[in-house]
Amino acid sequence: MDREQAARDLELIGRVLEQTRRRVDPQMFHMIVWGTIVLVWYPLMSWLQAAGRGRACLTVSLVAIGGGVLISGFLGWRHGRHPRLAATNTLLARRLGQLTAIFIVTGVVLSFAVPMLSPSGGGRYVPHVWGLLYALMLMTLGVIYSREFFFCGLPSLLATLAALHWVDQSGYLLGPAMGLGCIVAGTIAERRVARLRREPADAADVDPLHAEG
Amino acid sequence: MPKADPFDFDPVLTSRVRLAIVSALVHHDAEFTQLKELLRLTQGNLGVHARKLEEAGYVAVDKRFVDKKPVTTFSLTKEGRAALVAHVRRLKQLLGE
Repeated sequence: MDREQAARDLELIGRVLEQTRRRVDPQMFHMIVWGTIVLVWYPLMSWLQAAGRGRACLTVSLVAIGGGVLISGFLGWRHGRHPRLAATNTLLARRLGQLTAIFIVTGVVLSFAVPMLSPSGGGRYVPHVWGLLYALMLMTLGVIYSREFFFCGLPSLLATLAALHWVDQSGYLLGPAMGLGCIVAGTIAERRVARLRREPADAADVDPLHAEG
Repeated sequence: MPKADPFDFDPVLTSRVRLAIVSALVHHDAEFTQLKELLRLTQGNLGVHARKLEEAGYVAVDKRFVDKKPVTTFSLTKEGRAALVAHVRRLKQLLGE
């Protein structure tokens, strides 16, 4: 091997590393959707309960969850049909989706189990369960995917701890922490994908094996 | 008599295609189609080189069905990662870095 070939090989390694590091589309618009819903939903629930309108809480919850499922489902379906980036790491994106699903399913199960299995009043702590799960989910995504998710999960963790003390204010504490954490992390991820899409075609499509150095 | 390579480059990684495949697996595992698109290789070409890497123990191959479609996933082994690191070190030595 000569020096010129060695230089080309090093350049090839660097280019492939850079392309593979960046090319992931984890569809974090789901985070933005659910973050926005939680940002409004949780404080509204605390306000309704404080105003003695507890019966409206069920209606509000059904609208929030139903709306979130519809919007998230539609966006996921649309992007599934027309992938936004070529040559992406679909394996990593799928694993991120599975990880998120595990936390959400756990939350749903605990939402029913905690009130049923705990002593009276256990249902008051369902928001705390979600706060903790959101925190762990974001922090885990931060470890596996991108660092900003980790830092966006910390406020949810702190809010959960605070809400254990101020139970009646839990919605006002958890809603903004969880909601904004998801919105900020999701927005950063979506802007990263948008930036990758805007790059000139040959930056994304360049044949790393035959591109001129 | 051919001169011995003083830097003793790994013959598996002196192929640019195999070097690119191994580099593509450093950050994350990858599916066959992703590698094919990323590296602009034909199915046959990628298959041949991937098999050589698997035989060398540098790449692990997992084949399974996802949504009833066959999916082949490649991952870099510890040996493969070490081989790439050693290869980069030798390249830099050759360049005097």
